[in-house]
Amino acid sequence: MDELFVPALLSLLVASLGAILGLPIAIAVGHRLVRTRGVMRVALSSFVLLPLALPPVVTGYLLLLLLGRRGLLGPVLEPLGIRIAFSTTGAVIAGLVVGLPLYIVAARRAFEEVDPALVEVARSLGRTRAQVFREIELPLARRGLAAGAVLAFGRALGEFGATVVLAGDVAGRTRTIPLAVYAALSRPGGEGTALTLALVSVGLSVLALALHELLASARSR
Amino acid sequence: MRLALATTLLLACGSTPETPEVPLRVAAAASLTDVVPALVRELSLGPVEVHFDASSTLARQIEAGDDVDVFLSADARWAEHLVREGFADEGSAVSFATNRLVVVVARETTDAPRTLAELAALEHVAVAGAEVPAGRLARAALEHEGVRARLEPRLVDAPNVRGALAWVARGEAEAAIVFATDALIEPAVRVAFDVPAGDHPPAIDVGLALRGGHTDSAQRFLDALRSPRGRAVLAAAGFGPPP
Repeated sequence: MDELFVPALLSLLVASLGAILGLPIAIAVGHRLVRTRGVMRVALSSFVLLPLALPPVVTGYLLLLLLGRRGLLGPVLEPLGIRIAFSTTGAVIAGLVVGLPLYIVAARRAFEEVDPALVEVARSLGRTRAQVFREIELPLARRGLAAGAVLAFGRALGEFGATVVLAGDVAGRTRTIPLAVYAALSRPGGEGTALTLALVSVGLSVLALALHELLASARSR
Repeated sequence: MRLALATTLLLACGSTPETPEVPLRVAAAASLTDVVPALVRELSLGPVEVHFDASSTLARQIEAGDDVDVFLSADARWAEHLVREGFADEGSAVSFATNRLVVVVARETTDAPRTLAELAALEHVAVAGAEVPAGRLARAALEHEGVRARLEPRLVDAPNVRGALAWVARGEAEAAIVFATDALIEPAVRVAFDVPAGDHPPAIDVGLALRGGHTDSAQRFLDALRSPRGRAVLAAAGFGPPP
């Protein structure tokens, strides 16, 4: 049974953490993108959307070069006791990074939809930028951000390539549903487990997408 | 996907342009990644198309309908499995080399383990998956030494033996149990100690000519591996003679 429950719980954990930890990043970058123009906008937007176009395996490899023990930041992470390879931390980072582009695009759209007139009025009434952001923009963008969170969650749920390269395949730590399906398929008699996990995967994805649809349609009304 | 190691290369050596031949399709164990191209070159076996991965993965792919003429497995088990499933004739599996298991550590490691029991002091020990020949034999050795249960939480599975080697080369795992021939090709690692041969079933590389249109050329390919020149190339890469 552990073969089913552990990967399913791990998938939910990894995807939820990705959606939670990604929120401040999506808000900051999405908000920035609305206000940035010209070359800077193209540069920033291409950079943050990169994991959407890159093969996940490449994303995983680049993350390994950055965060691995011999990576650029390895000497910083090691004394802090942070190990990326073979740890749930690594799986969360992989899921977070591949989900971020969708999250940021949703956040940018949500902030774009905030009526600029409202912002101007508030500013003319003496509110600071920070107050306007907190009291007007953020509350109005709430549903859009929630829709982005669901998309990022869904994307992290399906993450395979970056996870397996960055965090490896360790049962109970990094073996989420996609990795468990792959492991089950590469051993004789594993088809039953693979099929059950596939059904769980379909169920979770449908739930996430339905939730996204609800949030999106509620926003457009 | 995860198979950074699974490469397909087209080696067209020794064939003359006037005789356009269909390349022989070879599926070979990850541990043979370097020696198969050398064999093809030295023995003029081309043109061949080679695909490398864990023997278990390749066997699954062949079962699923992958069109392959020759299967080179790192243990007898997967070759026998395909014979049982009717993908090759009874008795057609031939052993062409043997291998040994070793424990590797990063080259600069100062306090390397000396026995399998000492691996329990490390954080991560990379092995190939339980169905992969190198992973199955490694687990058998740990079992034999009575340390498998203690080590289990520290074992990290790689999709194939070269994956386990790569984790050590990158410094993410402190040690790996791999074949002696794998240790030779990676300059970033060194052998800490040999796994006692009596601890596990023998590692025998087995070739299989699969049923299909090219069984004869597949058989010739396997015969060449067992020829004196073939053995010399295999020996130079660290493989032992077939039993």
